[in-house]
Amino acid sequence: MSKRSDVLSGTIVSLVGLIFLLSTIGMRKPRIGLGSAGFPRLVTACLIICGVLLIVRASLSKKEYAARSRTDSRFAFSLVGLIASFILYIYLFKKLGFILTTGPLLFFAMYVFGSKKILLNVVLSVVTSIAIYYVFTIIFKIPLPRFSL
Amino acid sequence: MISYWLEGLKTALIPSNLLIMLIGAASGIVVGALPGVTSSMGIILLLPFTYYMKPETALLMLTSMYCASMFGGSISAILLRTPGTPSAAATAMDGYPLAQQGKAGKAISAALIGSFFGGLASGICMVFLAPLLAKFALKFGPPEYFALAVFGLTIIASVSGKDLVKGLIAGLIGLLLSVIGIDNVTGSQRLTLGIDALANGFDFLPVMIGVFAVSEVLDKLEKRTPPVQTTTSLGQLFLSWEEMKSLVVPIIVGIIIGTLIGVLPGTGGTIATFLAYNELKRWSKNKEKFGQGALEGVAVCETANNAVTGGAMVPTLSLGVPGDAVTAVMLGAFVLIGIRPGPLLFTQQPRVVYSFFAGWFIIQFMMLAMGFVSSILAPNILKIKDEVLMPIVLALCIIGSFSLRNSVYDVAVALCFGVLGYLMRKAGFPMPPLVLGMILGPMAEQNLNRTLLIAKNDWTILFRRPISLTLLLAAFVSVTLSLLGTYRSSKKEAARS
Repeated sequence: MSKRSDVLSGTIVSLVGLIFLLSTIGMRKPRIGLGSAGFPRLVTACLIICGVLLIVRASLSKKEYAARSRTDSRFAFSLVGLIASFILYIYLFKKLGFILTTGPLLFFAMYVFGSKKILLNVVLSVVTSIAIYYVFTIIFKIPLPRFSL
Repeated sequence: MISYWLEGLKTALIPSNLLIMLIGAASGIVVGALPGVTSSMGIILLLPFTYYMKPETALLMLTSMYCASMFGGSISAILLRTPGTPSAAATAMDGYPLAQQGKAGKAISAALIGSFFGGLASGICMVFLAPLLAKFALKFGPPEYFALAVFGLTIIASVSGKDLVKGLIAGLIGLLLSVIGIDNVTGSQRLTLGIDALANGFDFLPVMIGVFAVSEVLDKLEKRTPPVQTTTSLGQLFLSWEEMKSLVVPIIVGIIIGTLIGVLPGTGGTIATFLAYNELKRWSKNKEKFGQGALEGVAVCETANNAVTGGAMVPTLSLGVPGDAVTAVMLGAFVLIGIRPGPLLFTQQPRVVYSFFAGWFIIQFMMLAMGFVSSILAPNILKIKDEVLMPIVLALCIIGSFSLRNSVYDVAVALCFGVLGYLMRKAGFPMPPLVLGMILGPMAEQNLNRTLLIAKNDWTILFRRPISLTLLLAAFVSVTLSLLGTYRSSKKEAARS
């Protein structure tokens, strides 16, 4: 891990803790017992402390951290593409149904994973999504969204 | 008692349940064998298949996956020198040299026999110890349960890897996730930041699917390891009489160490295997054989890691506190299929408990049978490429999260936590503490609240009751020992560099 990465994660953790801690301000403390806010306050306070500890430790550390790993640009594109496909998938999932959305998602995932055999990818993604659909809807009676106009 | 056992055996022997166990064992071996697909991930991916099953059937399926995946890890450790599960890491030390000598089949057989006896023996230990511990735990009140949750949370220290601070942060994130949503006591919303979707809180399963499975897919996308040349020739599968005899001592050592380590919360298969291996080597007359391809080395490791399974089930079943990271996931799975582990489980759901006990022993025999079949198929199983496997895992993740409540929100949660989990892994945060935080958070909060209500805000009640004091002391000792261990290993590392 790089020093910068630890400082960044410590900052994010502390900020998240602080935001959630501030959100408990309006909650009243009961006369006895923890109330709604007691436990969350304890957890968020500990989160802030640990976040700060991480920042301080990284800043003071003399230990040589491993060199910052350079992110491969091809991976960065693949990751962004996959996340974008997740968002699109969630948006279309109920509208187009399981098979019509999962097939293309699988095809895309196979492609970004490096399987460049287009025809094989098409067959595998179609067969897999249809097989999963029927196994779950018929054998396990789990209703999955279907395409309907 | 006997009637419970008979009923349990009857339930476990129903043909459909036997088939379910067989499927669980087969998929467990495959999951264990595939590097990068962990036991935890396998259990999570199997969950959607169990939603509509009876709790006892679902439990049998998950258990067979759990036990068989422990053996499955040895296949890739022997054939590829890449352990399929972390607890098979020690198996590679002797397993791979054996494969190189053309004795991969014998190594797998030794691993399988060790796993079988380890599973059987730890099952016996579980059957005796779990009800006793549950009976004892019936005396627990809220302060004891709170202290127990604190003790359970100290497992975070031992599953945090090298960085305790990051482990603590991951555990605290788990605790935070467990409190977001509607407060059970007052019914009011908390920590929702005004976002309506957060009012429902985060369900355990989509979060787990995200951090364990989706993040693994993204991680594999980055690493994209090229296909490894597998050992295709297994050689002879069956062991000679002499070789069988040489396995007796390693199996006994593995059983003793594995079961003891399993019962202790906060330990796990990896510690048990290395400890058992070292002990056997220390006492062996042929020390030089170890590391060069000793069947005994393979057998002791695999016996120990399967002996952990039954041992780890003792605190999981009787106290509701997981023994290690995999049982933490199992505990979450139990809750999802409608089984609430803890002392009351034995009185409220004896049918489930005893079918689980009876099934445990049947599962070991199934694992033995499936293990021999899979060892013949092993080189082919290991040829499955990530580019095909990972998108299928992704599809199962989507199904798993959607089918929980037929909600796209859960799919979104799983995918978002997948990205978050991936980023956390990249930054060096361990994932198991997050699970522990999510599971033990509600238990800790509810019981602390009840304790304070009973004692009228007097916190000293926690230290005035002997059991809660003992548990809190045990938690303190557990963290101190972990810190000392981390300090020693960092000192050793510094001295080496």
